[in-house]
Amino acid sequence: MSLSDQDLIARAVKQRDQRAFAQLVLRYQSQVRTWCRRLCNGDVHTADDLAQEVFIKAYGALATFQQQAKFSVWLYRIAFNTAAGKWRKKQLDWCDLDAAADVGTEICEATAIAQTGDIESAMQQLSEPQQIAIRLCFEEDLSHEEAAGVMGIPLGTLKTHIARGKARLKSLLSDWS
Amino acid sequence: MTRDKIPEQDFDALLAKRLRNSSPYIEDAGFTAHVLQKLPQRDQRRSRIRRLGVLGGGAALCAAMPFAFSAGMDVVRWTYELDLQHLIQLGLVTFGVALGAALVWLVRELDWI
Repeated sequence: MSLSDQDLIARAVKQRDQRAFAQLVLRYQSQVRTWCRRLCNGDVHTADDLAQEVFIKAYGALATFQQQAKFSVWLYRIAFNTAAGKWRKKQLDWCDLDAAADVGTEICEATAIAQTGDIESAMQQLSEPQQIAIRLCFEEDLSHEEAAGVMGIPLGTLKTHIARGKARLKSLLSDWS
Repeated sequence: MTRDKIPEQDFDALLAKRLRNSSPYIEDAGFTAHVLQKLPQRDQRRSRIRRLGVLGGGAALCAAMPFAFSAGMDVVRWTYELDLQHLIQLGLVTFGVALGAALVWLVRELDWI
């Protein structure tokens, strides 16, 4: 019988039971590492280092985790803050969250994307805040409030990123149905 | 269908469908073990203290062997002199202590308290 996240967290906090925490790491490592790869522009090694840092920070702060939130969302938030800290120190090649400008796309590239319906290629054409916001809401199925919390931006800004990102995707995938 | 004609909800649904589960599962491949190695080693410290305790206890026991031997002879002699009723009582008390210890261990292990 597998224990719930809440039970494992309680054991890890109350007894500093590292086996319980290991179960949580095992349960979320794929999601967190995928998320970190996105934050690190696909650099697998940097992303795995970041993911390790995330879990170590999570272990230290586990007592502050509020059970009404999703554990995965909390981990995403830690990952985002850690990556943002590295980006500010220029340790990580990353994005400006306040940047709202659209990324220019060559016409021929846009045509190719539209013909193949390749959503990943289309996503690459969005600004990074737009990509992150859309992935959090559509890929990870987070609510707008949760996604804004993860990115540490106001809800209105998040909605703007999503609206602009979607408009851009629609444009790039114009033949997509 | 052109982009202007795609209803907003349909586009959202399509986007979610195409993006969700699009990332392959990443195998652990030692990742969890690496994380555990880097955690603050409170448990290891505790087990080191326990190991030191066992070693210290063992050393003390070895040192006390000569004294224990002569005392042990007295105990053996005393045991021979015990009647069956006392032996059964002694066995029951020992069993009770062992059972109690096992229960305490079980309760701690299952996090009942």
